[in-house]
Amino acid sequence: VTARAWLIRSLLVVGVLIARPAPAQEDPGATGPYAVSVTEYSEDDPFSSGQITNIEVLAQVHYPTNLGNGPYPLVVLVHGHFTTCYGEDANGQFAVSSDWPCLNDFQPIPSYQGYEYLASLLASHGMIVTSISANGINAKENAVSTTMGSAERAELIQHHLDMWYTFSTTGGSFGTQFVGKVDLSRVGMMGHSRGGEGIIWHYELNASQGSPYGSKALLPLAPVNAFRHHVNDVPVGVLLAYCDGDVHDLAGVAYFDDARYDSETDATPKYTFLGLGANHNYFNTFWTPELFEAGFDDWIFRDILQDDPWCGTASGIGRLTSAQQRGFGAAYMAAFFRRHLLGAKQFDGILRGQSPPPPSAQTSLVYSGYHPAAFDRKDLNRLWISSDLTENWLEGDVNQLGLATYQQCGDWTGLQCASTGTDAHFPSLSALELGWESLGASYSNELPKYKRDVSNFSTLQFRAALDYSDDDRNPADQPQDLRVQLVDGAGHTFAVKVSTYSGLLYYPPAVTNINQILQRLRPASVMNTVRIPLTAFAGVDKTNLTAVNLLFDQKAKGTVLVSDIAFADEGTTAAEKWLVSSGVVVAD
Amino acid sequence: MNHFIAKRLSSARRAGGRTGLAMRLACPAFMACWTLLALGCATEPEAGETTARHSDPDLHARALRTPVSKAIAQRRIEMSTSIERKVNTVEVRVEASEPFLIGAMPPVLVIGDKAFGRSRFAEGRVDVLIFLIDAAEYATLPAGAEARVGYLSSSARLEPGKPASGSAPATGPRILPSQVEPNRHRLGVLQAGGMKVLP
Repeated sequence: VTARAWLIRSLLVVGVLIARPAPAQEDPGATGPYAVSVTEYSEDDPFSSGQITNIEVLAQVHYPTNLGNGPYPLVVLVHGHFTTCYGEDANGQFAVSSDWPCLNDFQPIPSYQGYEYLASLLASHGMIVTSISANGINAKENAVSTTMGSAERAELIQHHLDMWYTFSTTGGSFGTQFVGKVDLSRVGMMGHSRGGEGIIWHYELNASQGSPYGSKALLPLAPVNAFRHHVNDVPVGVLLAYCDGDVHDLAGVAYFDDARYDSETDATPKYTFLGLGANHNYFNTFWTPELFEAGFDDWIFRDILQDDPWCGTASGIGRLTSAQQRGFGAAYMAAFFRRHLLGAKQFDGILRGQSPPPPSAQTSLVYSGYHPAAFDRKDLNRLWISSDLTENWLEGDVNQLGLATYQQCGDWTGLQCASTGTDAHFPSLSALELGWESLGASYSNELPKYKRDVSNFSTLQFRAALDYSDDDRNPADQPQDLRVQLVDGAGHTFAVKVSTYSGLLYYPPAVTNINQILQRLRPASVMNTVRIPLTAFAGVDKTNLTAVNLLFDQKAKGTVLVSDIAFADEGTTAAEKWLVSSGVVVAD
Repeated sequence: MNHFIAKRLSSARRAGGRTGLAMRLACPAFMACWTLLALGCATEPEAGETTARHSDPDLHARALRTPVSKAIAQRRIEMSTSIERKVNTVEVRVEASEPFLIGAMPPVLVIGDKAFGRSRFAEGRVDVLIFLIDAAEYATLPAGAEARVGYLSSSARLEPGKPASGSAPATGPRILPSQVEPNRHRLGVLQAGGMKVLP
């Protein structure tokens, strides 16, 4: 590496940012206390991976100007598939191409610079952020890659991390600037679109090499998921865009679903963050039409006339502006990386969906899915296998009363839970479909003797969604509601409404079959998480809990989907401390 | 950042500023879809015309709500095909009257009950897609098989292709016709000498 020539392109101080007084509830999208500088690095020799040669080695870096407080964690940003070059055609009109290197007078499209809004935010909170260019992969991956570029992106990321090892030890082209200032045991990654699958593959690649770099936080952003790999033992937060016209089935949700129960010792949480008004492209400023000519609204893939009542820009009412979309993305991505690279626990409520989106997100329509670490959960009913209909994971009886529909769907059943539109979870998630046609139906999970003490847990949580495909029971645009009831051994009961704690039983917006193209695509069913503090169930003895009931007494009829019912507590238990201290698991 | 990019960026970001090139924002002219409908653009500002920017919420809101002209949206895209035989590969060249839209999901050529996902654009052009088909596999395709192009569905689950081995080139992931979006563009039928394009 030292034999290679490095080029430092530019150094630009973008401003000194003064820390604000601490607000009542900190906004993760607020600029942090560090002044930020930006630079770039490149390598003269192109990189090769698999059958793809001539991959540029180029990245933009945002970092705290004063590196004296380092070492700082490193965050790697990886863009996805897009056109690679732009210029003027023979008629003087703007034009693009997918060559690499660019031909004639065409210039590279700097997709890697499209996340500056995020990179500067993260750097202002004490992270070094490198956003790498992958145009060379984009130009060739459809022709020669065996993995749609995922393996090549993984190797390119590792190559950049190798460079950062040099920067942080012997210095390389940066001289002493980053020596001792980069903590490569705390590395976070954000991959957009095909970059999202790339960072999952990179995690596997790095692990196969003995984990020379400490991948501590993965955020696939509107990711593709063609090969259905998933990873455990690392926090994963999948950011999903409801109006994604490109990865329209929200395939990235499977990174969450597939990882849930794959490891009984996974000490790290998994999240999804669903933005109802976001599309695929506007997270990158160079893919955004009002900021760069080559940008476009990907929803048009699905809806030529843009007349979907929610996502369509002609007559829809749900879309965020591109600035609002970046606000949403920056807020949740910053919360995620600050939580898992800097230990900022103040954002747990936002990440887990218990707190509303912060003001910087510029939308209230964000829903979270959350799966706690294995040692932070006591699974009551995973609703994962067929026997879960009659016996739960605490070996208690499962009963229903008065339900018109009581069946599992998704995954191994071969049945889509939402039979029209997009079932984002199919086939990665099995769920329980609960339908009722009169008030008073119920679904009950009993806790057997000797397993009734849940006082060490703080929260009851489950994932749920309204099943819009049952339009007989769920009127269009009407949210659902139900109550959760706890029962103790003395017969004390207390019930709370789900809507008090989450709006996750919203009616998914947009309609089906408005034209041939939208058919099967919207609405989209996405399971989110409701978390209810056990303290809400006043008067119920949590040391002697006998049943958890869902009471369908808020709406006369309806159908909902439920999965992953669990007690949770994210505090460190004695058992967990022992497992960490003994090296069985790695502390988050 | 090179000067050209910097100029373009600052131009695009400057509230109320002007661009030196025609901006095709509400409906990128380089977009094409694989459906029987073509994408159109209702508003295509001339050179120098002010364009909407996120720094102006009202302007942007208007731009975001700009309806796409149905007449233009329903304009049909013309496509033509030609076939070139190389040593181990047959290249099916698909040329469209509009540039193709480039996103996360790769284009796929479906001929009969086979799908082919290896493709590249012709040099300097995004209105010409060249699909790369193994010559031996191409030889097995039945005459009269219907040909269509479309995008791989984002819900498709694939296995990686095979890496290059000896003289055999790498193969892309195996794709089934059922994994291609239903809104595919019909190209024509395969004949012994090549592709017959339907009128």
